[in-house]
Amino acid sequence: MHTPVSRFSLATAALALAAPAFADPAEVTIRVFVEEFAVLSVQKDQGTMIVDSPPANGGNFMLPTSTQMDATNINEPGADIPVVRLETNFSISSLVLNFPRRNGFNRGCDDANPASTFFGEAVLAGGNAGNATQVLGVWPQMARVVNANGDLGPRTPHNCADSVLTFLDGAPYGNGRHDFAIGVSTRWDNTLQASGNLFAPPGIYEIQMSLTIIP
Amino acid sequence: MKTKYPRIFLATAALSMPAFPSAAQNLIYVPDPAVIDISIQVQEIAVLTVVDQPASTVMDDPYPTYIGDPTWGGSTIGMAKLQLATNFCVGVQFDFVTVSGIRPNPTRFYGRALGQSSGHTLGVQPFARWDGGVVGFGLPVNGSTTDAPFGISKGSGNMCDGYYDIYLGAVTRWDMTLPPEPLFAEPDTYVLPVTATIVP
Repeated sequence: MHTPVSRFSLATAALALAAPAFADPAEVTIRVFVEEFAVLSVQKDQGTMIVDSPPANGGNFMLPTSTQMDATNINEPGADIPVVRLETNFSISSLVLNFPRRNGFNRGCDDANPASTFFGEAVLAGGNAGNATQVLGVWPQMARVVNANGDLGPRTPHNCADSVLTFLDGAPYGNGRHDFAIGVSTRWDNTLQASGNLFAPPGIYEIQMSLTIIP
Repeated sequence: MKTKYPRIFLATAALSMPAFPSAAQNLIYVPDPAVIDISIQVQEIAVLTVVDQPASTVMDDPYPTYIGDPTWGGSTIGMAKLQLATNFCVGVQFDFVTVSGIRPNPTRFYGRALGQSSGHTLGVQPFARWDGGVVGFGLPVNGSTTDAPFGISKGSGNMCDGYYDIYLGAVTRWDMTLPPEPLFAEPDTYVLPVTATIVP
């Protein structure tokens, strides 16, 4: 049995609890696992040099040498040097430049024994490496871009052996962005002995190279 | 010795008595039918439950890394999942620690995920998906022009009576870092706690 008195008391209680009822806030976590990774991206995928005269100081260089400053800065007008950018979030010990190579040229790192020298194999555009008359020996080399102006650090040439070029200048390369210039030097008389040519026939000679990260 | 006479007399005497003695009448009461009122006041109730968490992913390339898909109807793999149960229209907001100064948009706000080993910062932009749409803390990578919290508004969410699945994801990139800390996020586990709250 209920009475008017008890009904009134129930209504009062309902009014006191009329606010919305919520659970506590939900707590969620966003978690990102960042792994070690490094990326090479080509900033400038082609480089060109013109051989239009006998070399004055040992060769025609795309990159600076102590005796010939064809290009000291990748941003200079006329500088035409491929540039590759390394971006990494962990320490990289070195980079490796690989390219097609062979020996048997008329010149060499040691001109007294040119047969022992392996040079990069640049091939006449549209030709093939199997034709000795269409091959020009080139000497690959790398340098670090050391500042925002595009100035280059010391040049590291290939060791003239049948091996890749291992680039270590400034290594290890830590967290951040690093630019590298890649070029070659050559001479008009750096032809294959088997070609019978003393000098390279006029034309455009090409060589493709690849760069690899060594953690 | 007993005789039948006294026994007949007793029976006669019993028949001559009233059916209910007056004293017994006072103990028997037949009332009107009983009426009981039960009053239930159903309040506005909303409950947010964590179904699946954390929202997590692995970053292994330099491109924007997503936890889930910010596109409506896309994959929810890796996303945290919340379930809202409500009997009235509500919104849900997400709050977390933010930071500005992040590369590449230092004037914008980003969620501040902290490297558990390095203590360094990785900018993270949470986003939420539900059946009604997608809402994010700024455009991917660009950061947010307004500070946290962000969320699903009561009006736009259309989350009224019923159950609603809400997925929480995020986008980040390895260069969304805080100077002078390293340019690229170091290998580590970065964590951003997020608090989801019902907004009436």
